[in-house]
Amino acid sequence: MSKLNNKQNNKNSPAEEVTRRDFLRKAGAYSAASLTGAAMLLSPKPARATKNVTWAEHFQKNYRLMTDEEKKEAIDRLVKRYSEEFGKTVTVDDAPAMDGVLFGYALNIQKCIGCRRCVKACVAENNQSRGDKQQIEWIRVMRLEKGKFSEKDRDDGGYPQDFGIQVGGNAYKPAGVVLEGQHYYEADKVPEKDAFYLPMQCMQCEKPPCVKVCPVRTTYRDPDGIVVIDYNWCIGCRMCIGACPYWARRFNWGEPDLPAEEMNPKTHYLGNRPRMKGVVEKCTFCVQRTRKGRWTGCVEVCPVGARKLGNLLDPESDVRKILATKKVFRLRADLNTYPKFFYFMD
Amino acid sequence: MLKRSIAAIRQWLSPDPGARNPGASREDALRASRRGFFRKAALGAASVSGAAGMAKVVVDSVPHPDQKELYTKDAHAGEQELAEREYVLMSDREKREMVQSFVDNYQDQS
Repeated sequence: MSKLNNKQNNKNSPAEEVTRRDFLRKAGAYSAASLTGAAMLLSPKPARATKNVTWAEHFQKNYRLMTDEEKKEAIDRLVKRYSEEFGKTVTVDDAPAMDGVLFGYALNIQKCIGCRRCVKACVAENNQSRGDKQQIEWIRVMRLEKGKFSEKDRDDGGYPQDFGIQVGGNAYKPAGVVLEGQHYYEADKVPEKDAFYLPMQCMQCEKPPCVKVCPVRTTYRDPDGIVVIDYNWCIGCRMCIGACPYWARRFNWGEPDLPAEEMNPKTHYLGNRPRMKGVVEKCTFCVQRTRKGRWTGCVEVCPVGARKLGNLLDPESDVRKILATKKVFRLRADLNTYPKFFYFMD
Repeated sequence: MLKRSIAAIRQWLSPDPGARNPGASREDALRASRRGFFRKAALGAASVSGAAGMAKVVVDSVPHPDQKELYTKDAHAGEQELAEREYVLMSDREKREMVQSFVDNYQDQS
């Protein structure tokens, strides 16, 4: 009994209460310390492209708002980072748009054989993510059934059959074509006998909807007509992807897979420099080439000469002559985006 | 050495209540309250960072959708829409007007 009384007395004494508090305090401290340690051990290593990103790069301004000195610093940071990451001398150009140039593109759909060399050349030239899981291709080639482009066939089908918006032609002589095709065909040999091919990429619109919707003004139309993206400023909201009526933009869901040996070291700040996770990218008409007077990778590699790049302000350019003399159509002209990428037939 | 370190930490975390002297000077009281504050602050910081680390681990372990599916979905986006559209040849007048608008727009912007 006395022992029990003693126990009860001891239970109620301040010394015992302090002991319980001490125990809880110690337990909390040790738990916190061990959790911190576990978190540090278990946190993944930073991805390659972001490992060396400095505070300065992280907090740099929108490219258009930078002074010349700030641009130079930004470029120097990138050159240093890319050279270290890829183990080769990387150049990052910042050539501005050339005066008196407005780029236009024309593609002869009768000549295209669907070889997709333009796709592969674009991937190689523009440092796109590759590999089975993270393949990004700025150009996609749609396979169409042959015969759909003939006006004669269309006439024989009778008109009108379905109501819809028609621009050009008239009710008795329709001038349109219906594209019913598939992407990412896998033919053993091209061109296939019963197929036409329609490559698609960014249309470099004069009134780009993607530029309108960008909440941070990271994508914009340069004076030479190319719609570019400041990758460091992109927040990855994907509004532009939703706005683009040509579905020409691609998002980096993961860290881009770009092997060092395959990396093209000649880059442009607004073009083919290596991107990072969470940013949008698209065709830029190879700004790293075109602003130095060269053809784009796709134009250069096309084995049949179906692709033409030119200056819309120069009446003697290929594109202007094509517009003047050939049968030309644009994709989704009804949306008034004024694409500067035209398809033509002889 | 480990035992000594643990003992030192224990002593720092929970000083002997018997050592509290009601007659201690004001300076001693101030020092004790500052020490208590710093102790709480350090424990709080360790707890917050530990909790943050655990939260990151839990979030990272949530299964993400297949990346290949995401990229493929982007690449195939709009296939149906584009396939169902009718594309119309431009008339000569449309082409002339379009080119003129490009030229005018360029001159306006410059």
